[in-house]
Amino acid sequence: MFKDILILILLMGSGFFFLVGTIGLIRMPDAFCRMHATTKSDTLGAGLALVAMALYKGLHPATLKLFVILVFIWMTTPTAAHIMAKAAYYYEKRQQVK
Amino acid sequence: MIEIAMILMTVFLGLLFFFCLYRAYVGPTSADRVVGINMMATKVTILIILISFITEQTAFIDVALVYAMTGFIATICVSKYIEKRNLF
Amino acid sequence: MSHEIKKYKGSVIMQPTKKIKSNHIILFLGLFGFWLIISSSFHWFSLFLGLISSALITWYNKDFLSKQDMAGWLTPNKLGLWIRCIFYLLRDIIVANIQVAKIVLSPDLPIAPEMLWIPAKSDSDFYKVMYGNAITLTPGTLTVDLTEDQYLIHALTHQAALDLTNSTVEKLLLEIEGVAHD
Repeated sequence: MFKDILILILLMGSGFFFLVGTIGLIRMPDAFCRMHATTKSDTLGAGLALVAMALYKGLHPATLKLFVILVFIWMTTPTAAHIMAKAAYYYEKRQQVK
Repeated sequence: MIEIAMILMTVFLGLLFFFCLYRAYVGPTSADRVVGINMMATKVTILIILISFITEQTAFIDVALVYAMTGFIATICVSKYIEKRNLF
Repeated sequence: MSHEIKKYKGSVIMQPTKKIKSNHIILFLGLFGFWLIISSSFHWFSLFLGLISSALITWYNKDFLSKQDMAGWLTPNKLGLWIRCIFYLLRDIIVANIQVAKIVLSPDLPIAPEMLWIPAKSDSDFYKVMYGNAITLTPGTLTVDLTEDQYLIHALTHQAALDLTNSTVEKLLLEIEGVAHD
C-alpha cells in the first residue's frame, strides 16, 4: 500500500515536470531559453517515471534495463542540449555576417 | 489502481505531444523545431515504457532503449547540418 | 599503424601511441556486462555469443581507446569523491527543476538572458566534458561552446551566472583529477 502511494507520487511528479517543460517550450521567448526549460524538466521527468516503473516491477531483469535507459537519458540529454545550442549560436552568427 | 494511473499518464503525455508539435511546426528558426522534436523523443521513450508495463510485455523495453538512441542520433545529425550545412 | 595525430600550432605531428592494457580490459568487461543486461539469459550459447562479440568489438577499437589510464579511477578514495559528486549533482538537478518551474509558471516570466565566457580550470578532455554536462544540469545555466580553455555559457539570470563561480561539483571534479585549485 505504501509502495503504491510512492509510485503514484513519483508518476504525478513526472507528469508535472513534463507539463512544466512543455509550457516552457511554448512560452519562452527564444531558442536558448526554450532549451533551459526542456533540458532540465526532461531529465527529472524521465528519471522520476523510470524510478516509479522500477519500483513497480521490483527485482527483475527488466529493472536493470530501466536503469540502463535512465543512465543513457541522463548522459545524452545535456549533450543534445549542448549540440543544439552550439548549432543555434553559430547559425545566428552566420546570419548576422551575411 | 496503478494501472489506471499509468493509462492516465499515457493519455496526458499524448496530449503534451500536440504542444511540442505546435512548436515544431510554428518555431521561427530551425533550432526551435529541433528542440521540440528532441523533447518528443524523450516523451516517446517514456511512453513506450509505460505501454510495455500496461500490456505486461517486457520485450518492449528494448524498443524504448533503441528509440532513445535513435532520437539522440537524429538530434545530433540535424544540429550538425544546421551548424555547418554539411554532415561530415 | 597506430599513430596519434596531434595538431600543434597549425602543423600536424604524428606520434606513436602507447598501449594501455587496462583500458582494453575495462571496455571488454563493460561490453560483456551490457550484453548480460540486454540478453538477460545465462544459457551457454548466449554467453558464448556475448564473449565473442565483446572480444571482436574490443579488437576492432584497439586504436581508438582513450589515452588516459581509466583504471586510475577505481581507487577507493576517488570512488568516494565520485559518489559525493553524483550526490551534489542530484541536488543541483532538483533545485534547477524547481527554479525552472517557478520561472515558467510565474505570469510575468522573470528572465534576463546573457552570454558569457568562463575559464576552464581542468586540463584533460574528459573532465572538461563532465563539467560541461554538469553546467547544463545546474540551475539557470547552459553550455553553448567549449574551446581549449574556456566555456561559453548562456545564463537565464545574472544571479545564476554569479553562482557558477563557486560550484561544489567543479571543486570535487578538480579534486578527483588532482589539479590544485585556489
